[in-house]
Amino acid sequence: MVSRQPRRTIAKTSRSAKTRKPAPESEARSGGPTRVAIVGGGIAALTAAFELTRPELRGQYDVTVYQMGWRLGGKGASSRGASDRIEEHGLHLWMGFYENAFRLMRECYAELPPLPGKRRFADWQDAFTPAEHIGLSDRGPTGAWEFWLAHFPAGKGLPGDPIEDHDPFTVSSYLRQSAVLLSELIRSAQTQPDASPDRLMRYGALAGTAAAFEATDFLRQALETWMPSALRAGSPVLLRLIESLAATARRSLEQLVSGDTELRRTWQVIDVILASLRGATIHGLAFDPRGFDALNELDSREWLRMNGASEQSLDSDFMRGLYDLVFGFENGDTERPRLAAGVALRGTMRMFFTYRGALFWRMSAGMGEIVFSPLYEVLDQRGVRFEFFHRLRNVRLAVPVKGEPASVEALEFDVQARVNGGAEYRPLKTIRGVPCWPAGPDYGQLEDGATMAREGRNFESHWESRNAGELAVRVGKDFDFVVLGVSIGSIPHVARELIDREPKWRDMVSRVKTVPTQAFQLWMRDDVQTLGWQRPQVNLSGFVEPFSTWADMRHLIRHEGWKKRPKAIAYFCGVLLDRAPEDGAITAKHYEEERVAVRRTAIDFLNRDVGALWPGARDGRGGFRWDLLVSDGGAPAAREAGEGRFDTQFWTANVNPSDRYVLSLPGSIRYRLSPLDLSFDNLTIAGDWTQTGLDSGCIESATMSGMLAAHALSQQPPLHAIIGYDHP
Amino acid sequence: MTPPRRKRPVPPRDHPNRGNGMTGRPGPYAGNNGGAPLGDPAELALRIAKAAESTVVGGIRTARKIVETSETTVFDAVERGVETAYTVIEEYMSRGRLAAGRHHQRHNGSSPMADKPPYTGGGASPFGPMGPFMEPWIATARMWAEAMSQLAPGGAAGGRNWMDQMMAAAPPWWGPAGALAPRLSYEVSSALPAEISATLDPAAYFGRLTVGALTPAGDATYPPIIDVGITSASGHVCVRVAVPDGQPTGDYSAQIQDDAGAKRGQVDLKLKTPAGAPAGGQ
Repeated sequence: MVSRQPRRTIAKTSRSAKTRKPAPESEARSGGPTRVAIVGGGIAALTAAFELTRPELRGQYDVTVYQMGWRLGGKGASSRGASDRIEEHGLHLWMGFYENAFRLMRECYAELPPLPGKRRFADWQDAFTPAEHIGLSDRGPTGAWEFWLAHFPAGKGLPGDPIEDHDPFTVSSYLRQSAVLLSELIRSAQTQPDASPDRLMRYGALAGTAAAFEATDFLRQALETWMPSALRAGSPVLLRLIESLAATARRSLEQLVSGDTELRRTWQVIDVILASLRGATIHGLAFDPRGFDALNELDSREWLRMNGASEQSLDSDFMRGLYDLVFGFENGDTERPRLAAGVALRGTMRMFFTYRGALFWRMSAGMGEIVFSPLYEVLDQRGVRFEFFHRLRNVRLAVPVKGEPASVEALEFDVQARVNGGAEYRPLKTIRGVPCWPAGPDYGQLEDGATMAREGRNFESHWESRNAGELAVRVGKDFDFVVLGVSIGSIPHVARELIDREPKWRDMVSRVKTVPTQAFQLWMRDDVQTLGWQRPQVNLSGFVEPFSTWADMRHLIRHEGWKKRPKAIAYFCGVLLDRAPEDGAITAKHYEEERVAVRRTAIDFLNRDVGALWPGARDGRGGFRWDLLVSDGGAPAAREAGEGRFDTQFWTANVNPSDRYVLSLPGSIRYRLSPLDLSFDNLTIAGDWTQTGLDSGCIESATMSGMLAAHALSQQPPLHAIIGYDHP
Repeated sequence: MTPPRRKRPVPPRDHPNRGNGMTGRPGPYAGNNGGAPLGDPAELALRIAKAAESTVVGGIRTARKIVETSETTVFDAVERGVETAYTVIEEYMSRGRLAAGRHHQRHNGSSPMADKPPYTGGGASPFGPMGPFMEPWIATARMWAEAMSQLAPGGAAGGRNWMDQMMAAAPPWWGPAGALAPRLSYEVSSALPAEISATLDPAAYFGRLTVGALTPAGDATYPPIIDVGITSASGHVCVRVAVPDGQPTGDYSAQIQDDAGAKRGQVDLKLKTPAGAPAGGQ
């Protein structure tokens, strides 16, 4: 009988799976490579490893990566679960302006070692595909949900292409691009199914009136600027009249768009863009040496309000979509949207005006196998050592010496598990030509593996305390430099001495906040068209909180290993209300409570809300059709008829300190420390929580941080090669 | 003896250079270097202040005209400003309506140019039928752009540079920097030396234009020049005149009108006596 299960093999690279790379020299020496200990396996940490081991550096750096648990990826980790289904930490989309991240991946794919059999994603363009549609959701006049799909044309070039003879990161370039975007928004009218003359006329009126409004507003500013102050003071009526004129123009606009949802949405986007341009001009932002950072003490909506954006625009689906994109809700409270204005402005300018190829790119499979498997394979091939199952317990500082800068003396680890025979752990398994991360450790490689499998260890959790031994690596003996690449949520738990020693670190950990997130994934027997979604494959934001973001992931179906294939895969994600203990020490009990809460929220969401997206998913009583959910039938829940079938799906409560999303709150940005900071002369930091130039929680920011960390140790890559670092 | 502990190199800086990429300054990726140094902030502030002081563009110029009118009171100036602004609003609104109306007409198949893309007169507007609606945005963008470039350190020169680049990549009807008028060209066939010029209302290039026969100026009884045409495509207006052999020298003119019959401009033609020939008509 032929098995229908996909063939699985351990991914093989150029070295034997049982061969361990030689440890760095144990003796302190003046010559030889510089030994770098990188703690953490997220994108920032691995970028640092990638940069430090570039062939052109001729082996100057000997790198060891220490990672807790069995897999790399940090907040981008994903694994293959039952039926080889992809299970993510959350939803990950790449934006077309992620120049550094795409360049990293392009170089990584170009260097991939051969794989026995055919590699499914051998080229970066196999691994990433354009996602051209953005969906936003909003309640219409009747209170019913309405959905708006915006299509963004292909941007010139591809992300990661060399930037040669133009500079897209200037205020003037953004002004130029704004005209194109505004035009695109207006032009979208003609692509609508009901692009009737009446509609076109309304769009024409919108364009004209809005421009007149701007012209009037400009006149007002001009008078304020030019008119002698004495005259101005003596004639306040003049400015009042001009204000009145601007208000009249705005009123006509609002009358024009009221009752026409589509026109209203278009105007709201335009209003926000114009408010940004207005603010940049009025406040001389373009000439401020601080660049957009000058705004970071303000919330983005607050700043836009100051610059004339209407309340309707500030509460629009467009704005909510932007906040959703960065989980911009303090303490996970969706009633408290908070996002530093400068970070938001820089991010949106980069997002809309400098994307290449497509505004968004989706990964062709899980992030684990699209990003972290290739990075692992390439770094492994370059000779980087990976020490899995090493949980950092403490960064120990050297005894202070007067007149000497502070430095790290040792890194103290708990060894969570030991590999049989002292070999190096081989973490990947190949599924259908894709080296993947399994959902748990390969216990067969571990000492006491059978016991640990029975115990159901969760090596990535904060409370997991299994200790098969301890390891202290020491400066001069085992390493020269440290890249601390753990998440900022973990810093208070592993780097207390650094916080106590250095006030800047204390400020950073107290001001740079994180937030827990939640996500769930559904596999369904009907496709989304059958369920009532007749539009293209989409990533949609602004829907019902907290699961405000839906991604149609149908493209993953063929890469999973179902006996009977589902016809739809849907990911939902959002923030999670922060109920963590004050000290951030998450217990198993707390984690379980949060998982239960996420499950309940998801079930309620499906019963109550998702019908607005998929009318065909409603049962006769208006609840969710639980029979839609697909499982290969292994779990008892698979046989259940009601909401118990939800238990066959995947959901996650990202409450561990290392899992929490990094926020960019107003007033917090200046407390971020740069990887270039020299508070400790043999340590640098890496993560999207650092000062990266972008200063937001995203893959690009993490990549930039990794490059900065590499620069801090090796002066490579040069700072100007970090695209977007030197940005207004 | 234990060798000294290795220490990180001191980085040239520990923060991003936010000063690069400001309007009028080269960005960090404009060349192969890390961007021009920011310079002394105080000096920069002074330069900005000076640049701002000397700034007179777009709406600012308008404002100056309004307020500087010495013969009028401030109230008169305001009233004129308000009136002007309302006229602008009405003009923009009417353009939108006109464009949509023409679309409606074309939609119903009554257009003589129905085989060509609407609005463009056969030209290739990148915005298709929404082309006419785009102009206000472009005008607005231009206003912002000019203001920003004028305010930039170094003044308008640096700004004009990117404006020019923008224009190079812009739709043909975008027009030259600093003016909202369309591009004008002429095709004249004449046995006699001819000097031709045309004036156009600023809004003329939004609509379809017609031109009548070129009639002689004054009381002349010469025959008109009837082979006259005008095309307006995507902001590019072309006046075509074929002067028949034997046409008397002299001044001729014709009105340019829009769809509604309103005057939108004028064509003037001066037919001259060839060098060496006796002056005078006929």
